[in-house]
Amino acid sequence: MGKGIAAPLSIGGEWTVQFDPAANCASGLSRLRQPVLSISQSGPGALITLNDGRSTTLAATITGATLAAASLTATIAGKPGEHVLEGKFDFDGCAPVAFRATRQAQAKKGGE
Amino acid sequence: MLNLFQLVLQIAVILVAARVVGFLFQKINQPQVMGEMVAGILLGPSLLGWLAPGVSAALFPPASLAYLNALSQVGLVVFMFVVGLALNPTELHGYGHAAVLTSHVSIVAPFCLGGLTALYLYPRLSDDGVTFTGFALFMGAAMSITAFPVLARILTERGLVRSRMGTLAIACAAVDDVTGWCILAYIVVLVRVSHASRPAWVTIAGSILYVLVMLFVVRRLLPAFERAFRRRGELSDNLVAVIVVLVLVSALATEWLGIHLLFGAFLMGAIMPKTPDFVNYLLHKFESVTVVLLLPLFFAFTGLRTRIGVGGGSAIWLYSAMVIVVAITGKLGGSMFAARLAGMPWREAASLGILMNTRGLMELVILNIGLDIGVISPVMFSIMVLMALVTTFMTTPLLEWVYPSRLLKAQVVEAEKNVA
Repeated sequence: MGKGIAAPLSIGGEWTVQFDPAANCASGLSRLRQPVLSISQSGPGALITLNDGRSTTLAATITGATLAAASLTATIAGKPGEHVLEGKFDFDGCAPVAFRATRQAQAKKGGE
Repeated sequence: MLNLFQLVLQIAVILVAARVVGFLFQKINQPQVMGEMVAGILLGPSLLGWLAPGVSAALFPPASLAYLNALSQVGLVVFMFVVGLALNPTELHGYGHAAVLTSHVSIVAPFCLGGLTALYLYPRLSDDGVTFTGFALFMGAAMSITAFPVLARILTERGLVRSRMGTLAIACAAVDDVTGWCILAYIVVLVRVSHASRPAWVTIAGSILYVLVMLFVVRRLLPAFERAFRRRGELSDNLVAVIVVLVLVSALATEWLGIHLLFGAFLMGAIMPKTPDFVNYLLHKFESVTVVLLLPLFFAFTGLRTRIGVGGGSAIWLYSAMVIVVAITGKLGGSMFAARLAGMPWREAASLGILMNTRGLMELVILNIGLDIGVISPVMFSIMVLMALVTTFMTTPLLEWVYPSRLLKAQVVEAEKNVA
């Protein structure tokens, strides 16, 4: 039972982010500390908390392999359990900054 | 680093909130534990974090919660020993067809409905890091549980422990609890085996060996404690310490095997000698610190992880309503119809269903395990916590409505006359 039922891609957890080294956005990037993203996921909805000293929270949605939030869009790539995020951050006063994020070792997950 | 001032302050705030809200709930004829559970929720993001985020962040910063969690887990280990200790599997004997049928249906019906609900909720509230099987089994187990300790407390507070319905409810809840924990142990093994460094056969064979050793070796040694108790009318501090160490070793064994700490503590309690005065003595020894000090910490830690009405949109309320209806239909409806089929009058059958629908803190224990191992998401956790609160809260008023105290007390008097 339930074989044909698909759940959204898993992105919950802590993510280490590598920004494009050529990005020119010191004001936005200097505040961030690793792991930059902490994602709490429930189905296609997610809350992204930035490790920026103010714990800025962004509501996000997952549609297929796309993660979208107010100042962030990314594609979810890779195999289940080894997903990576590739996309762009929008910081105030800067051009969008490309990034690649990898998930830190996860807590044990249910039956993956 | 441990901030001792902050930890002690947290404990003080939690205890005051638990006692005050517990007292207020007693005023509206709810068990104290119901108020303590609600106090935990009120201290979390659902109320304090929403009304006064600055105060909440200062009092419960995320980095400090690991210590609170560790303390609450120690409390749960002792509490699960107490729950196992209070269980007496022989209670089911003598209640015949009604007890056997009701206890089985009260597990199977909510389990199946929980599994069916998972078909709808899995794509909406889970992710591909969790298999559908793991999610559905967990939903089934979480729907099936009855809070044996809360049920016992409600019956005691209403003077119904010796009524026919009260004794039947206790017996059925005992069977439900044992079955529910076995199902949950299977789910935890299923989930953890896929990530554990050791092969699955080690966990399975080790678990079987552990249970056999507990039942056929350790259990035969435990009457020595009872004999010591008979000789002196109490146990020395050294013997009490030995019991605590046995509980901890049993808990560590199940944790090492990949099941969970709490199963070991529960089984240790379940195989202890069941002579009433010995059990009461141990309950008295262990219960006060656990119930007054450590359980409120667990409720607060649960509340800090629960975000009722925070995020997720209006659909969350629809999912919550669905889960609550399914939980009540499966547990209350299933138990009621089974009891009726077994020949109980409608009023008693309905009352039994209402009692079996009490989920209380056992549900919170199971939900925390589910969230820890990642089989349910934070929003699913909050929805299930809400369900646990609703089903526990509704027990007392619904019971009073269906079977008023005066009628129940008349039944108790009649039962006592028959015994005499």
